[in-house]
Amino acid sequence: MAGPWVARGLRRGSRYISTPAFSQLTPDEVVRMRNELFTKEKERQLSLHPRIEKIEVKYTGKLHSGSVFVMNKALSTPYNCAMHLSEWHCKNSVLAFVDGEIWDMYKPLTKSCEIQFLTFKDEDPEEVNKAYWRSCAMIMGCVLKRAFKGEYSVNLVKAPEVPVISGAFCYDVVLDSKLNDWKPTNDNFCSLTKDAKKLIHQDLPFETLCVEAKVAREMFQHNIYKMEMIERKASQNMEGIVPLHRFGDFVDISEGPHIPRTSFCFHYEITAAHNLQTDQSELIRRFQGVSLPVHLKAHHTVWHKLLERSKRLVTEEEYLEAAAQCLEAKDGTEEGRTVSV
Amino acid sequence: MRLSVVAAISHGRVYRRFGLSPRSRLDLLRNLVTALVRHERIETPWARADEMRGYAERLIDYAKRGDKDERAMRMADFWLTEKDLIHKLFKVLAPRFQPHPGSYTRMLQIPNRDGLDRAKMAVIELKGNPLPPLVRPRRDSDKTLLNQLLKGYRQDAQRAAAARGTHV
Amino acid sequence: MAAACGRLVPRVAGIALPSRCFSLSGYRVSSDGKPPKFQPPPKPVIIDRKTQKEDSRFLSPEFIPPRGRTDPLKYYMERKDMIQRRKVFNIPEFYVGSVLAVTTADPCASDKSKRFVGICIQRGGKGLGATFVLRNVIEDQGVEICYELYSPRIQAIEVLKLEKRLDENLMYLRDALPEYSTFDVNMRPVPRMAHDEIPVNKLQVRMKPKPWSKRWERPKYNIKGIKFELPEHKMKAAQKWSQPWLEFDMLREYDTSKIEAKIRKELSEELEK
Repeated sequence: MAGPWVARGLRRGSRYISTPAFSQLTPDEVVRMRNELFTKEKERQLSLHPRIEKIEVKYTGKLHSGSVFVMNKALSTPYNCAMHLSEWHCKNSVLAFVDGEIWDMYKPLTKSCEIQFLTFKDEDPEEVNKAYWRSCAMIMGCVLKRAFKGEYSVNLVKAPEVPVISGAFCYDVVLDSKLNDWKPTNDNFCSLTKDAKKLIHQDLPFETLCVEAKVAREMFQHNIYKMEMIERKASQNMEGIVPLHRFGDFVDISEGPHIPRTSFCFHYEITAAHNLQTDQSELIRRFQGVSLPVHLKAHHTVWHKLLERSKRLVTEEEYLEAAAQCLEAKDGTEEGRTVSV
Repeated sequence: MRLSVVAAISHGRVYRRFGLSPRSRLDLLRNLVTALVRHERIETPWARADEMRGYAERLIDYAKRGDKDERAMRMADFWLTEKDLIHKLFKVLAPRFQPHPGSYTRMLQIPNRDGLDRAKMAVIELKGNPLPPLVRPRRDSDKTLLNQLLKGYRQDAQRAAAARGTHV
Repeated sequence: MAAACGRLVPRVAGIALPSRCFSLSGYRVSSDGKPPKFQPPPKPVIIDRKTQKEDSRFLSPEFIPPRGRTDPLKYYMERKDMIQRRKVFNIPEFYVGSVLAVTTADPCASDKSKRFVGICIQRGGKGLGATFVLRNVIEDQGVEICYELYSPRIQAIEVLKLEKRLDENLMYLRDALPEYSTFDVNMRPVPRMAHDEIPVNKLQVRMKPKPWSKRWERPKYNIKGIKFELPEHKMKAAQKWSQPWLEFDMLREYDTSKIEAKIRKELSEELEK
């Protein structure tokens, strides 16, 4: 037993010196390493506030408007505020709206502010939908990362932001070159879906952490696609802050806020994989899936229709056009409402 | 003749007993039916509303047969104690419900009667009446996740249909 | 088809020409001078019209399930059994008021069967347990026998006279003069054309003096087939029990037209098989 441990330790030691060595790491080890780094960084950030300071949070939603909560700075989250309000708020709030900014439910509040909660059934739940799609994509990323048991390398590229109307969320992945001829079958998708269901069943919270680019780089050093993304993010930001997200022990870097917990998903299915035509040498695959939250369940016939639809390739550009079109043709939307009422 | 949990253990009793006699029961219900046809929405004890509902719906079924029908006319003459309402029944209500196969009334329970006997009360109304609605249906907005997905589905279907149309 | 055949037999007996012989007779006629090419059409035409008429007109009342909170599955399954029985056994069309002859198995009789002729005074029961009551006066003694329509002991049902009476239930014949329920045991079947309307016998019977088994003059029974010879004030007093409002109690109506159509369709499908 001692042999592999030593060997791994050695490899870990040499990590910072020669990059190619990391391709030898199994996905499990990569995940564990990122997880440890994330935990360490989180503890460091917590230790920046040794004294508990109080902030005042004012709730400006519909019910109990104007309530003021006294919360702990950098410790309390919007979820804690919701707990003070009602169980309904806890269960149905997907995102918080803090001083005109979209905020994760499990992201600590840093200053006195005004707060509102966003749900799936708001008048305009676009941000919520986006967050939900993003989180579903992240769950899919996690499933894909682990599905190959270390035998094949899996590189997550990115989760493209597609609008909900496109019918599917997606995640781009580069698989091992040995798998270039492999076509996933329906059974494969089923087993992937099963893995995802397991994650959903575990009811894992999504955590958010804003870290400096240096830390993020250390975490994602062997994934060139993520590195590019980090660079881009850091350059957008003044201070070079990169937001990281974690649920369970899977850390990912993605755009914006996420839903609070994985158990918000009700229907979840990974339905298709497509090969993308790119000029690069590697074959990028786009895995797609579709999901519905517990708050918006669908009849099974409707759900199967949506499943069928989610199987075709989803691209970002197409849906920019489609969005423009649907703005023009706003009729014919009335029938759809009755289904989900 | 109602099929409900109560009826399931009713031992063959399918009518409620109102008034002093079977005759008086029908007279009572007649007055209620007349009031319903006149006002389109009335408030009565729940049991009476429930009992009257079947008669009101059957009466409209009869009215849909047209005012040339002798039996329909007799029925209307019996059930509407105020005779000016016969015209309304045949000329307003029958055309209104012509496209619908049944279930012309809506019944909602309201708080118990206060002051008198705490009786269980109900509001019964004809559907499609001009009065302001009692309950506003709350619908999800068009932009919820599910509705967006369905909208996308519909657009795809339309596009496919259009494509097929051009091919042909 | 069984029902159709049932109708067919008495008619054929009247015309004394089984439909199978039709073409044969036609052939015989034509063999005198003309070639036999023109003959076949009459046969299919006749059969078509007959079955269509049959379908649209008569449905045995026991097929219609009773009103109420009953499980239609029971009646559905019973219908299947009834159809099975009708396939092997000919149950003719008959009504209350028709004169029937029924042959049943009887272990005590010398030829192991017994034939009884009488007027049908009541049809009762729904589904497989449907019954009918025959009444006759034999040797000055009123006799009523209640038969189960689908009983395996019944060997033959023959309609001697197909007609209706003014009422749906002739139980008042018990209190009528015996001549009205006396029928000849050796009665010949009355011939009748297949497509005719069922004739309604508008006979009004005269009753024995009171007391009767029921007060038939009361409006509850709504009897039209009795010639009441009661004093005026008694008839008037009977009207005290009238319930004119029942006519307007719409929830008492049992509209069977849809059920009938459905069952008829089911029947024709099953009998085709």
